[in-house]
Amino acid sequence: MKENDKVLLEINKLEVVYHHVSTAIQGVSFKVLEGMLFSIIGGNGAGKTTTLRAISGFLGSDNAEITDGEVKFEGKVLNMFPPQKITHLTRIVLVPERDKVFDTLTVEENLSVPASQGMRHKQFKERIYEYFPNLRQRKKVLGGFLSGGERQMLAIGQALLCSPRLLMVDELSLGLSPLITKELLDIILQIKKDLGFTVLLVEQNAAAALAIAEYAAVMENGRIVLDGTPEKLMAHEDVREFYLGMRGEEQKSYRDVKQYTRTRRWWG
Amino acid sequence: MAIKAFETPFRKKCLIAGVIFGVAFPFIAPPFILHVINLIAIASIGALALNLLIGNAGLLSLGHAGFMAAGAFTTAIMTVNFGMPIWIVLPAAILIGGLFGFVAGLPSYKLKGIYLGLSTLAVHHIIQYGCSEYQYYGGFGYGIVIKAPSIGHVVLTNKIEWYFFLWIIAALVALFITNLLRSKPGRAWVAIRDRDIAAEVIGINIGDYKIMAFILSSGLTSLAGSLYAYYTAVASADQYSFSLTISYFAMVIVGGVGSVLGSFLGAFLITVLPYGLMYLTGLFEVSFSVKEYFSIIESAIFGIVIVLFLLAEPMGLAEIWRRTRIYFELWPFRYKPLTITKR
Repeated sequence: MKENDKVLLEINKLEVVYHHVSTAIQGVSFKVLEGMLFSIIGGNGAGKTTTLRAISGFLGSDNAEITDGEVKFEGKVLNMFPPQKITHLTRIVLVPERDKVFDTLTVEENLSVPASQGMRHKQFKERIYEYFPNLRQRKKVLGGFLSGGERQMLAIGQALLCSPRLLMVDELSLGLSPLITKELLDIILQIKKDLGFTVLLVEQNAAAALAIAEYAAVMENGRIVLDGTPEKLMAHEDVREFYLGMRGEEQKSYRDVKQYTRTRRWWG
Repeated sequence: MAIKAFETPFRKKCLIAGVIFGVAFPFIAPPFILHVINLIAIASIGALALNLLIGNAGLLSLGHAGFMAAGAFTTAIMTVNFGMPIWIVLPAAILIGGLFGFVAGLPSYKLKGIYLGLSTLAVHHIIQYGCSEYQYYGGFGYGIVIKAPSIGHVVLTNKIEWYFFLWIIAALVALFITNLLRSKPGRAWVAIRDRDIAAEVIGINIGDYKIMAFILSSGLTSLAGSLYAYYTAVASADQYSFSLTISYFAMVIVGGVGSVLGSFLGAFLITVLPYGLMYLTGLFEVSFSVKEYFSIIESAIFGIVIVLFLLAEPMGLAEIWRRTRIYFELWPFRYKPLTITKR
């Protein structure tokens, strides 16, 4: 991290508890610099989605709350703001994991739902159609009839129409083939380059996420266990073994290895 | 839709024929049928308003009859006590209804589904209680009699005048709602109904839009109540019982949830149904005992119709209409060809 870079989002020792009982994440801290592509990787139930939800203010609807720590956006504490307020004030926009497009509206209407600004909105819509030519072809099709990849494109398009400063994408690769995932990630990279916003990517597909990230963190059991540049992580023995599935001749599956051995290796 | 109506010569001809028929109809129709048609116009306004709320915004309200009562009693108080003209009373009724809608909608910030329905039911009972108390202590007996309103020099006493007045208002309301549904609030409501979290993500203020739907819907319902009071020339608290809400629900379900055309079709069917039954009983000269239980039979048939529609065609008459149209449009083919997309 360079000294002169501006910190856009700062998470400080965040702790989130569901239903007043079960702790989902504890002591999560990281910083996202402006204009960076930050990715968080980790297995199921590692707390990745919870982290994103804590940032975008969606904990209330899940009966969860931030019990400790803080979420800071440009130095302003955002803990437990309602979601649409966060979108309006800070332009943090989340592309949720599922349930993201409106089934009974056509593609075009779906893109008209976000806060519109007249002419600018129209131009923006055109641009989204340029990025995703598939959507232009399916303009008049109802959202419910789209394929998984097209839904993802539409959700990203909707998020872009909110003119985000920080775009958070939750599980881009969910239910998509590796080829489409790669295509979508490339498009996101392209858009990011053109419009210059910051991206926070949450992925299970570690290979894809590390390939495009500028900085990455590995989450496990509600904690960040490793972080660093993708090169550093990809060189790391454990990441190679458990997330990238590369271990020379004897490949081990994720399930074969008991978790505590790893935890012991990392926490001493 | 308005532009679509002129798309093909056939549609143009249909539209012109429809307009001519609509204008000529009151002069050729027998007065009783005209009366029923006028009632359908009022029911359509109420059904449109309720459909906006439950069909498009996806909110449950069981207080519909209460809002109608609010409109009717606003009309009664303003005309009987203050002698106000109709062009002040109607907007006032909309405002009062909107105010009650705001109160009824406040719980929607927190509540969803059936819980919201219960809280609106409470509002219905409060309004109905207030109205019946007013009626009782004001010494109005079985109802407050309302004088026939006048627009300019025309006094609306004749069924034919009422026909034009009511259907023009119904058409205006329908036009307003179709346009509203195609604008930002309309899309926001559908977005909230479909996926509230996704809607919140892209910066839609869910609570405010829900309240807005409540205010608009109850304002229009109140308008329907006011028109009903004017048309029947009486406002009585007993008319606005919970079963009225149920019959409006039936209109929405039978007509088609979330469809403007469906509101009209549902209003037509549900309003005509009891009169049709009455006509049938007269036709077959049924025994006196059947006539005695007529109201019970009527509600039973009501229930059967609703259940049948829920089972066989949950999207209502509007969906049947749509399918028939598509069938003729695609004929002799059965399906639309697959559109080829390039990746």
